[in-house]
Amino acid sequence: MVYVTEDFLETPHGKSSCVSCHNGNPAASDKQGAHEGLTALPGDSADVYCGRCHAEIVSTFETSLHFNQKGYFVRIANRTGFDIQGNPELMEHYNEECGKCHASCGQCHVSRPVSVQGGFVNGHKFDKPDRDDNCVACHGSRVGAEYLGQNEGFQPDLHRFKPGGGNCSFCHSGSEMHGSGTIYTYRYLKLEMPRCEDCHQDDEAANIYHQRHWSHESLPKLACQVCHSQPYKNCNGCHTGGAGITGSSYMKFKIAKNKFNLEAANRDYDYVTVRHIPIAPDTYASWGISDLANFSSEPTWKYATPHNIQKWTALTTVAEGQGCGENCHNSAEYYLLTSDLLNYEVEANQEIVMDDKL
Amino acid sequence: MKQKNAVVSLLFLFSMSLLFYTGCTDKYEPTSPISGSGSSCVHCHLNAELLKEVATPIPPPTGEAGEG
Repeated sequence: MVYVTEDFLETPHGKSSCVSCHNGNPAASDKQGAHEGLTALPGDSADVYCGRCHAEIVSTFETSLHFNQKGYFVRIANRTGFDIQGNPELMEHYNEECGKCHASCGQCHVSRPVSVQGGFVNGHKFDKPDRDDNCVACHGSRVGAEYLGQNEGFQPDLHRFKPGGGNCSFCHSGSEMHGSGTIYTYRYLKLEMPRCEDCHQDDEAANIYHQRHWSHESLPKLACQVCHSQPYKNCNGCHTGGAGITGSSYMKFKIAKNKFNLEAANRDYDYVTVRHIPIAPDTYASWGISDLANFSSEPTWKYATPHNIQKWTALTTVAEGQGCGENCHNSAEYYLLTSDLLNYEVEANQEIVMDDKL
Repeated sequence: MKQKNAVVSLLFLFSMSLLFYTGCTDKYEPTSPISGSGSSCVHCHLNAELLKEVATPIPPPTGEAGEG
């Protein structure tokens, strides 16, 4: 719906003429004529339109992963052995199935994302992204549901109830979203992405668990989520195909070795939480790629930062008389093991499984 | 002579008013000032009832969308 509220006209953007951003033919007397030459989504050409006034932000926006989707292209190239961006036919499939999640200025600041059919958030008024209509519109099935406590039997993330914690911007800043000018190939390499330690540095030696698992000289370092996450959503074939991943998503909690090369982003943990991703050797068969030549070049269980943090979890709570690590150490339930994998996944995940830690 | 001039002036003013009125295709009078060429866009896009009439229905999204 493209209903503009009258109070938009009082805002700085509303005082510009419509055609200055949308083109079209305002002299026409019918819908078809008026929309001739229309630029429905000026934010898709940010350098032409938004950049007139917001030049500084737009100058780095091409490095935003929300915009360039570099992470997707690199992952696909690693597995196929070539860059699909040079192949128009494959790009058509990509744009139809994956590219819809690309975000422009307008899809965060004016309307809902195209992937959920758009529509103005607030009568065309420009604003900071709305949690439910913008962020969760795309990041709803996992992150949003976890953070808001929408998965049956699990609690919302405790940060939600902090002052300001109702919005994603409580942790995720505009500079992270807009791109910094540095081209990243993976979202967790972004230095602008928040880490728990950014706020909780003072907690490093707060208790014996932190002393042993956070900064101990000779003991493994754990990502905070390893102790403080609840089970989270893992994906099968929700929006892709492939033999073995046709089931729906499921709640699971798995710890694995951190072999994700994230040291540059200060994510130098030894053990991290991992999430199953929907990929199989024949996932892109409908695109004409019958088999992924380098399928095992990347794990099918990926580094994850579940958004359902609790101070006390099943791992941090032990019965009276039990040792402090009773629920974690030697736990086949919580460790990612070879027995958790499908046959074709074994090689891809061999570096991260915890079989030798039991 | 003076009477003739007055009649011509009145006729001129009348014809100019008529020309101005018929030349203006946009009758919308917004409560807030809108700059020139944008006025006809706003004429439709501020009118929810009209938009409902002329909008092309969009099918609802299916399945789980997005980057999780």
